[in-house]
Order: sequence, then structure tokens, then C-alpha cells
Amino acid sequence: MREFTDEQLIAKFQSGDELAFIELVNRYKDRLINFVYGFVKNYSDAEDIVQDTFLKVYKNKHAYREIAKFSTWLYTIAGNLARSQLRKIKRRKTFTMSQLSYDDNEFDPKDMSRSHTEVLDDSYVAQEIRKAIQELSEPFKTIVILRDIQELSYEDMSKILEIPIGTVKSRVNRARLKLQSLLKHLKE
Amino acid sequence: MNCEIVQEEFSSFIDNELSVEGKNKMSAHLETCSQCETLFKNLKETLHVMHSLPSLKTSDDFVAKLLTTAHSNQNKRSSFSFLNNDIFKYSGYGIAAGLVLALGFTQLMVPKIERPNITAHNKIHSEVPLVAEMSDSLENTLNDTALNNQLSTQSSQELLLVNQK
Repeated sequence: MREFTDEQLIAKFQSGDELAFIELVNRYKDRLINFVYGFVKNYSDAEDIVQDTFLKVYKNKHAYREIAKFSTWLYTIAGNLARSQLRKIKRRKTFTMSQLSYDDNEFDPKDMSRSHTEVLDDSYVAQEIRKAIQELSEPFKTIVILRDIQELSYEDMSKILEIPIGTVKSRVNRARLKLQSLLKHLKE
Repeated sequence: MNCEIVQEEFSSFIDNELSVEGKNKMSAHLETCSQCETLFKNLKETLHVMHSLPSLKTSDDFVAKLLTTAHSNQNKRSSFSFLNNDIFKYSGYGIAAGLVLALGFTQLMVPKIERPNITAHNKIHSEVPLVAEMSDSLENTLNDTALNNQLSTQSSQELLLVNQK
């Protein structure tokens, strides 16, 4: 199966070959969890979203047409699910915080799920970079994750984000410069 | 090229998205501008660290879990797949059409019950005089009758007298 392209594999899966689907899952599961984790910052939420992404592919395999790259389609599904999950988390947080009294607000319970430091064994610099990425605005964060973590091409990003390549280029640059300014303290 | 334009093109330069001419202009500027050169060097270092960030891995049972859920969802869907079956669909339409026909037939067979014509009834009702008017009219009629009776008695007595004469 390894010799096939993504597009050949999805075509095989559309014809009923489940092994082709498993190969696609193995190719993208780790890349996608890193992509989604960049949004939700919680390992188990990220893994659930990646599961849901592949379940959507499994259920709607015939919705894919070979006018786009398979990876573009996949990242678009994962990105949409991650953003929708993020909105839910934000709503939940707003609700929870508004229910707490002032004293309760001062207590910051630790997340019981695995945090990225436990999962990743990051160096100090790597942790600072991840923190800085989270501080970026939503469009900048997405573009940095796609370009510098996922290493997608400008063309693929343009398709996933549905923006012209020129906008992708300028956004990548502005996002990186912003990130650089957030990491200034590392150079001091 | 001024510093602002150069800095806007940093990423395109790093990602090899610039034309040969653009690359040459950029290199020439970086050789002469220490401020842009430092910024460019720092940016490249950050990106280098970012590209080598330890990455997350999905759990070991990820694929097994995924396939179990996918298959169970598929089974759930296939249990209700008879709903999409053409035979089921068309027999459903047939049953519905039969019911409509049966209802129509029943309506035809049941004898018609005369219902009061509400419009006509209202019209009649509006033409019926009020009780007060009715009593007035009755009273007048009675008075007239009494008067007529009196007159006719008088006339008959007069006739009797004439005859006697």
C-alpha cells in the first residue's frame, strides 16, 4: 500500500478496499493530532477530533472528488472540527467562570487530562515556542501551525484556508514576525 | 529595496518562494543592513527550532478504536437500510394511496345527513320581528278585530232595525 499516492488510496477505499483507508489513517493520524492539538491544547480532545475526522472520511468517502488533494480535504475537515470544538470549549469556560464566586476564581484547578508538557517532554525553548503560538490570533496561529508545524505548501494552505496565495504569503510572514516578537525574551 | 519591503518578503525568501531577481535583491540588502540581517537570522533560528519540535503521537490503540467505531456506525446504518429499499418505499406509497382511496369511498357510501343551512337560518332569524314588535302587532290586530266586531254588531243591529221598519 505504501507505493500508492493518497489520491489512489482514497479511490481504492471508495471501491471498498478498507486496507487503503487504514494506510491513509496511518499516514495522517500523527500529523493531524499535532495540527488539532495546536487549537485545542488538550491531548484527549485532540485525539477525539482526529478520530471524528477519520470517521467522517469513512462515512462520506464518496464525497471526495479528485479535484482537490486528499490532504487538503482531510485538513479542512479536521480544521473545521477543531474550530467548532474550540468554540464549545470557550463557551463552556465562559459559563463555568461566570458560575464561580470571586474566591473560587482564585483557585485554578489543574487540568486532569494529559497536558502537553507531560505528553511531549519539551525543552524550555520548545515550551516557550508552543506558548507563543497559542498567544497568536486565530488566523496567525492557523497559518503558523499549517506552515511551520505541518510544513504544508503555500498552495495547499491557500486551498485549505480558501484564501489567495498572495494572502497566504503575507499572512505567513506577519505571523512569523509576530511570533518572533513574542519570543524576544529568549534572545535576551 | 527598503527595510519594510525586505521584511515583508522574509518568509517568501526562507520558503524559496521568491524569483531569482527577488532573491538577489534580498541578499544584497541583507549584506548592507545589519538590523534586517539580525532580524532575519533570529527568524530563521526560531523556525529551525519550530521545525524540530517534538511531535505528538496518537495512542497505540487509535486505529483499532477508530475501526471499531466506524464498523459499529456502519452496522447501525445498515439495520435501517430497509427504509431506503425500493420495494419498501413503493409498497409504502401503495399503502398510503390505498388508504386515501378507502377514505374517499367511505365518504361516498355514508348517507348524507341534512344539516341546517346556517346562512339561511341566520337570514330567517334576522327577518323574525322582535318580541316587543310582535306583541304590539298582536295587540293592534286584537284591537282591530274588536273594533271590527263592534262595528259589525252595530251594522247588524242597524240592519235588523231597518228590516223591522
